[in-house]
Amino acid sequence: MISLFSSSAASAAESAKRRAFENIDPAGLTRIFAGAAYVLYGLVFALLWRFHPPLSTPKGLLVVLLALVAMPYCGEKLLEWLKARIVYRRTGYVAVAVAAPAGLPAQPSFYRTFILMVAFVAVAAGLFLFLSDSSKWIFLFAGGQAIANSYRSAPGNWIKLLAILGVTLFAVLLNITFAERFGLFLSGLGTVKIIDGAIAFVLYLRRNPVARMSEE
Amino acid sequence: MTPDLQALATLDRIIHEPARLMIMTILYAVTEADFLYLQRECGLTQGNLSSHLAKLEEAGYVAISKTFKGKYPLTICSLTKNGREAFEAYVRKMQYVAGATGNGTNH
Repeated sequence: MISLFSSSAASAAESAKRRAFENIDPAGLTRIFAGAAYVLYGLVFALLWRFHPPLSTPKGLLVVLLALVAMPYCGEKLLEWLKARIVYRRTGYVAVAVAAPAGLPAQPSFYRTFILMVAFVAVAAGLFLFLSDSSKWIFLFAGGQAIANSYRSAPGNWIKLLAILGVTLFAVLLNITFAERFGLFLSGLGTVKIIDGAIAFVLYLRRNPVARMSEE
Repeated sequence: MTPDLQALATLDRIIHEPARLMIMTILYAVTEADFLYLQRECGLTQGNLSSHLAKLEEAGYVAISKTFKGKYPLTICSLTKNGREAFEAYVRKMQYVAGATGNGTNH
């Protein structure tokens, strides 16, 4: 009996950690923000390179990259403000350590996610400066990476995986310039993220009314 | 009294109470959590949770701070170093007792 209690206490601790870890973005707000940033970045790059070729010089690229690095700071503050108004009033606030419990993928921080995105943009933009327009393999690779990441974070979400695959193939197969392809690819991925986050957000609001606190 | 039974007698009574054990288990698993999150996870009433948190705070196991996220006030709770050590000692003691009594499936 005691043994049963002891093992159930241990599994309860693991379960608590798992539930807390899954509660980092219950309303899908981070996904919506990340998706919006993807769309913005994609459109900005496609438009910049289409209408302002001088920005594709290393100096212009540096200015754009600095602006992209600065954006997450503003985004994170806005996201925290929204979480305070929407999430913390419904399901509460919890902070977990960076290390994920067994069986769950590590959750990158908000800032790290954007840094990775900017790094991807920088690498792709660098390649754009040196490679020809026929470098479609970059997008196939990036699409594969996006599918792998999505599968790790939500293995059962086949519609999302298919949507990312569709966006990747669409961007690769169209006969357009690299800049347009890049913009289309990022914007497509962003749109998938926004839809995914928006569905989670609506479901969250429907399932979690604002809690009434009186005896704290 | 056998050492196994003595181990049971020295269990930390502050932690051993079921509601407080739930709170300690959750706080052990996270860095920090607010009052509402704990209430939803434990299924306790606000008054009940408040009184158990007060006891844990009094014992030095839990640190409670009032803060704001945006304009929304939060009561943030986290385990202190003492609380973490006490919880680990409690679990170790329970595991020792469980090990000493076999697989424990004979009720």
